[in-house]
Amino acid sequence: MRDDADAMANQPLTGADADAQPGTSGIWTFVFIDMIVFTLIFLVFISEKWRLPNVFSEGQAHLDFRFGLVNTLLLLTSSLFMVEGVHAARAGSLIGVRRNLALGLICGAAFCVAKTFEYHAKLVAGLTPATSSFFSLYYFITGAHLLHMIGIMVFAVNCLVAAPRELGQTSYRKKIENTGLFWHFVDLLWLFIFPLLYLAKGA
Amino acid sequence: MAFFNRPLVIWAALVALTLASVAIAELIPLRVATYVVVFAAAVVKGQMVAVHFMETPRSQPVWNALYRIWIAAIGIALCAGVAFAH
Repeated sequence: MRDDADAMANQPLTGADADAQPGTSGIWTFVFIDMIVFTLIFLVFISEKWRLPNVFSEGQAHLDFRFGLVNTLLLLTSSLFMVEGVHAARAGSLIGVRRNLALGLICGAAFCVAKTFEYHAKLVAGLTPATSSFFSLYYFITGAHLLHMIGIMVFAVNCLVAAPRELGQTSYRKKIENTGLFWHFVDLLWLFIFPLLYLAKGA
Repeated sequence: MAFFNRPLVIWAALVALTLASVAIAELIPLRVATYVVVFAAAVVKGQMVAVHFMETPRSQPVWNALYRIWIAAIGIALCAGVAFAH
């Protein structure tokens, strides 16, 4: 069944298969709106970096890329479990859904814990949102991303709890696909936040 | 080709690209070329997540196009932004 789901992933959508698209139209719209919001946030970051290159260079020197790397690996791994969870739901495997969602949630929780440690280290060192324009944007961008992560984890817990009674229903398939779609979007955002904040340090 | 569509293979490729871009950013002096490589890796990873995890090719064509164009555009914009600030 998983091979079937894998093969389906790259099939183009035809008019008659509109219901076969992963998730609902609403979630695709919602994610796109969120993309626009983050585009504006990124543009503010870039414009401030142009305006205050030395402040940003100095601020980025305080960031430890190892935190960013660990977070990236946790998010990528959580996405793997989420996509396997969606495939398991399509195949009607309760064990697969439970195992993969639980493992994805563990990775998501580990991401939140790592972020908390990182924030704590910064705050103890006196690096607060008021320290500089860079740290203001650092906390805003990573904080907004963290809130997205926490939010989607709530929906993933809902999918986990509802699986025994709803698995096999079309509404459950849509629910877990919506959750997976947004989860991957949160992962996708981090793929750009990581190099922007932690890797592109020069100015 | 089915082998390369397996989530575990995609995940391994994503991890490999992440480690490679970190190694390049941390070991090679930051120049414009370094930024291009690092953000190009981010765009490739983003496209992989969109196609294989989000399954954008199975969505309405407009979403598939918009999402994938956004990933490329944001990567180019961020790369250009940090490169000009360099």
